[in-house]
Amino acid sequence: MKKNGKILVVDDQDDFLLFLRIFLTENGYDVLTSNNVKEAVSLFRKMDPDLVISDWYMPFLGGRELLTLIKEIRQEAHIMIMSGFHLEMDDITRLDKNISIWLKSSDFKSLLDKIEKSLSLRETAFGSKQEMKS
Amino acid sequence: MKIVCSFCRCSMGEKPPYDNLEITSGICTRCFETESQKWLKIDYLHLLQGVENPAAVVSRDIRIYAVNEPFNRLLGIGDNEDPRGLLCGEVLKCMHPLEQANTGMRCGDTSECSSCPIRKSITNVFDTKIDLKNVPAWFKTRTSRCEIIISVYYKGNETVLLVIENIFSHPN
Repeated sequence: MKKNGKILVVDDQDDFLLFLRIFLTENGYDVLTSNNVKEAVSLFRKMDPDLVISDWYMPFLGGRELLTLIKEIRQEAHIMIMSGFHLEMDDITRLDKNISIWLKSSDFKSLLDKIEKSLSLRETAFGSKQEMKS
Repeated sequence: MKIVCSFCRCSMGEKPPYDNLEITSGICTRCFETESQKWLKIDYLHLLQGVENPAAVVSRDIRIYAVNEPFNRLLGIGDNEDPRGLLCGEVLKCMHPLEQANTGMRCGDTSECSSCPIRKSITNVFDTKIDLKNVPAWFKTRTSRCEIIISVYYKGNETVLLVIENIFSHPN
């Protein structure tokens, strides 16, 4: 199956993590998963995913901390925050177009659409950089 | 921290830290099945139907997608536990990752994992897409060495069916 991109999914709930792993794998993505922020950061460094999808509310370190840590490693990283609850994050998403939000109870087609959008933004940015180099 | 289902909002219990008042959201067993039927291409539970021996649907990275009731009984998995999403060694309570857990090693990371007969059989079937039948295998818990006979069937789409055909010594 053609791989559409490498995605790191982070969620403290193994049930949701499993669902996304299966769903995204079936839809052609190369999926890495982690149920905690510390491991996720280490995976991010090691595997250099195209997109990180992370839960917001997690025990100990949450989505906010993960976002900060990943942006410290790679400022232009594409991150999608997911939550079971509506999040007011306009201040963050307005400042950084590489951050998006997905509500966990939405339909999963909308997740695929958002992923496609994030990955195409990344490709466009990558293409522009390559053009500038040459 | 309280846990609720993202879809039906039912309570799924609590987890540490108990003084954290935020709510984390997962997916309850019922909604997992409903959403699976809507969105997943493979019916993982269907793969287990009619299998009387202990069996599990396993991913390429040796993670458990689904198990049947005999599998739960064999491993003493209670009604409140859910092995889905866990690594095979975590479900089998394999001693190797348990003994090296303080170094961050998990099932697949230890020096013994490359010679694990269960892992080798599963990987072989993923690589060749050819079923393996009645292969002698074993795993070690902290208290016993369990001798088993396994079969591994390729089911496509990143899954195999692992069937425990025979058990010569039960896990304690």
